[in-house]
Amino acid sequence: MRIALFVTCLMDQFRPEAAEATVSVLEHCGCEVVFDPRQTCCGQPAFNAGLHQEAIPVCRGAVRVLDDQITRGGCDAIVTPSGSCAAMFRHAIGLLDGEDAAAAKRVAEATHELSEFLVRRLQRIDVGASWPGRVAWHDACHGLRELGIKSEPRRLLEAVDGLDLVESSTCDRCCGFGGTFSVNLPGVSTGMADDKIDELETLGIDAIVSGDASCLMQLEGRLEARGSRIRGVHLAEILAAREPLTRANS
Amino acid sequence: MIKDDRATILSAIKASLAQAASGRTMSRLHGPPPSIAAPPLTNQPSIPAVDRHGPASTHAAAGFQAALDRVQGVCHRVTSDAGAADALQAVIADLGVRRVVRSDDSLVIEILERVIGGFELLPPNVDRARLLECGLGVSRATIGVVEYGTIVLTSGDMAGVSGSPTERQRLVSLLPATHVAILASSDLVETWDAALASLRSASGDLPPTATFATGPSRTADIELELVLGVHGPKNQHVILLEHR
Amino acid sequence: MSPPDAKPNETGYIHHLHADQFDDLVPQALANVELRGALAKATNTIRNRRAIALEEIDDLQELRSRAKSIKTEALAHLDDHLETFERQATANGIHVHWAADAESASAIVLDIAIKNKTRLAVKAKSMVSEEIGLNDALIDAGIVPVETDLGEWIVQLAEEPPSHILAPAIHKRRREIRDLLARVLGRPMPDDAAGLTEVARHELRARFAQAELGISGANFLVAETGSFLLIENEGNIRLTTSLPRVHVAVAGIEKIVPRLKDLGPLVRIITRSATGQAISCYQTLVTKPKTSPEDDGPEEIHLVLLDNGRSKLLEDDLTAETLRCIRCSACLNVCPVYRQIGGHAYGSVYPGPIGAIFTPQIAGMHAASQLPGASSLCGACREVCPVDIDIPGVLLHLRHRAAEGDQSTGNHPEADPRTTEKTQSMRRGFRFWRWAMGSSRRFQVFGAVGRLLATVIRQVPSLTKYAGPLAGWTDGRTVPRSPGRSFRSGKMARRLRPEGQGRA
Repeated sequence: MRIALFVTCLMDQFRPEAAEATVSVLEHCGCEVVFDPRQTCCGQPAFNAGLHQEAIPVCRGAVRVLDDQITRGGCDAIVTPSGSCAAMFRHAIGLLDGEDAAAAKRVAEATHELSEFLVRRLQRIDVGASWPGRVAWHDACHGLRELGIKSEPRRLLEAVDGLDLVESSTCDRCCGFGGTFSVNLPGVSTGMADDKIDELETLGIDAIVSGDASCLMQLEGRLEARGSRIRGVHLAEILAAREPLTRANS
Repeated sequence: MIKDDRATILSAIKASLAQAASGRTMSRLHGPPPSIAAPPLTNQPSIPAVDRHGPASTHAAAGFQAALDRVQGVCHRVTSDAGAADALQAVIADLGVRRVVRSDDSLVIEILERVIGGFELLPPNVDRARLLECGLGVSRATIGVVEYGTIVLTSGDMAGVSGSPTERQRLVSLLPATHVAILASSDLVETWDAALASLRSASGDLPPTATFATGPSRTADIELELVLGVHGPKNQHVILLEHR
Repeated sequence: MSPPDAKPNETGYIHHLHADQFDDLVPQALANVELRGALAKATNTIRNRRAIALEEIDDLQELRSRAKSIKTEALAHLDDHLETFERQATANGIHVHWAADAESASAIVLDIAIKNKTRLAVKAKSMVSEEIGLNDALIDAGIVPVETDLGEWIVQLAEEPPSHILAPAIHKRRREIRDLLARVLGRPMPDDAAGLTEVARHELRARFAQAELGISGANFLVAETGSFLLIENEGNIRLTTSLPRVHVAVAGIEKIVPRLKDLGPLVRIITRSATGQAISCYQTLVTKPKTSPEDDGPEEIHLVLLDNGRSKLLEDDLTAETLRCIRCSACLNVCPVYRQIGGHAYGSVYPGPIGAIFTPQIAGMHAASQLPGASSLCGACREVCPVDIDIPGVLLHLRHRAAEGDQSTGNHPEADPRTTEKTQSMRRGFRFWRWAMGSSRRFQVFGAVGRLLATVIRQVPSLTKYAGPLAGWTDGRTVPRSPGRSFRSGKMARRLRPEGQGRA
């Protein structure tokens, strides 16, 4: 299966290892991955701020590049390691006009978040990963509530060798990022992160795992500011890991 | 002024609905349009009359009792009028109630006549100050709802129309700290919806007021701590007459 | 006053609205440790109760879709249903009044109060009465309004607005309530909730007995039978609608349901969503005033139908969803923002997610455009909404209206000055962002600059004060460790390039 990767702007610039891990996992599962470097951002930050004049050209750019890959580039699906950006392409259908709206519909239908793609489309649970450590999963809001992703990442994590997955009672609570929200209401945003972190600190975990780089940036930023030993890890980074199980992971 | 507002509101609604129907609005892009098709309205009364005067099963009585128990109410299941009187006597004695007010429902009067006494019994039309001194009120429940342990208290002049036991008093079941409802098991229905349906007479009329009461009144307004007995009764007893 | 063909009054009014101060109120709320403790505890408790209560329903999705379709259908023919309701209720002996705005509604209630020589009015908790500022209107006319819902009574004594749609005193700790009652009543108060409740029962009994007028809201108006349903737990609504000689109910026009049988599904879902009870203690269906054989009950019943900007929301299928709300407040209890700041910070009697969409649409964007920003768009509100209101969708729509307007306004932004200022500042940033994202090369260059800046700020955090609007972000958070390269500049990305697109 030929996959067009939508890497997301944030991961591209700030978490390249997770992007590369995404590719490794897909290739391990027998996919051929292509990355069209004309892509930048899905346009969501401006869209969520109500700034359509700014969001439309950026969103249109992403839609055209990806549509090109599925209509002419021979790609069977688009995979992105972010539920949030995947959900944005659904909004793009209404945001864009005419042929671009039709393209957005094709892109939205072809786009899968990574865990959803592995479990639902490829029906792969065990991707041969090993990662020694105790982790909790953070359900990123858009993946959970707009795409209905809940069991998929958990099943994938449970199949990882050496990994101990514990359930957090605040797993489905927002981390407080929300794009411009975290800039406009920073105190509320960090309060929301603290709500989660207070509970995570009681679980004895090494890492909080999520499928969205933006949630991880928020949580890691707060964890580090609080001096916590818990770190943030992207799902793809764990799924691509082949860590020896004897070494303590810290 | 009032007439003008009526026309203003209705024309504003019509104008807005017309605009929505034209579908030119922009906000659609933020969410999918509602996909629910509205079922057509009919002119017939929407709820058919329910025959609830059939024989009630022990199962229904047990279900009612269990449901009422879950909401801190007490159901006394009795199989004779004498048993009902005994149950009522025990409630009054246990709570140490000195004044009792009754409604003027004939079954309530009949049962109270069998109660030995030890308290002052007031008729329903006492003045309000006296009523406020009563620790316990006895009245008739029109319907019992098995699924929730709910009793339906109706007021008005429906008795002649639907044959339902309808009270002329509302305060007997409301002001005293303890309310004892007399409920015939033939008046049990399974669901809240069925109880609502059975309130309508054959001609579709409803009693002036119908209160669906489930357990004692309660609040959680202070730190979400449950407290029983706020403005309504603190204790809710139901004497369920399984022989009726 | 206005002729029937006049342009309807499109925007309504919300009493004591100060949502334009949202930005100032938020830091105050965040600094209130006591408040945040109370909110965390309370919202946790209610959300858990709700979840447990809904698990008991086998056909929850079916029930939810029925509840949604009942309200959707009611709104789609709202004019017809209101006329039917008026006809039936009038035939039942209920006086039906129409109020286009808050002022008109207050005037109608006041007129009834004065005609009945009212000195004291007992009130059952009603959000609509808060919306129209009925208490102040009564006080100005020399009439004493007494709130009788325990929580509402507490906030009335504290001279505060409610901070929650259902639990008005949710922000107060027990000790604070004890001290308040001791001060107001001038005697020592018990420490426990049961004891304090007993005090309220005793104090308010006397008021119920004196009141000439009872004022309530209404949860549902039944067009088919001209009845209305009141839902409660405490019994104060039963007293309010039984003891005074006259009862006035004030209800928004959106409270209509077409048929009597529509009440079943709505009653079934509302209390579970609201408090987590299977059913509330009391639902009272009022159809007629006291009839001749009755000893008790009001001799006169009035029902005031309030528009106050609601009809405008019907212009659009999305904004109309706002009117499906049955005021269960489940969205408040799950909202992570409400949990941090509580109800008062919204500066509106309607707080939380539903308040953030209802308030600006009723009172106008110019008065409350900051509220749609009070959300991370996490969608928890929609997830729990028993009538599936697309709250995040409406929030997005309102943000767009604040920034750019929409077709219905000729694309003029609608916002208060602060929002406008903030939008302009964001727009400057996003214009640059748009340009930077407009080509892969620029994205690569500015991505590198961004990583460099992040590295510098990570080393020297004090530099963030020059970061403009971004400064707040770094207050409580450490800037992520930046990699020395982007994904696209790496070896792997180059290997993955599709044929014919060699240039990055």
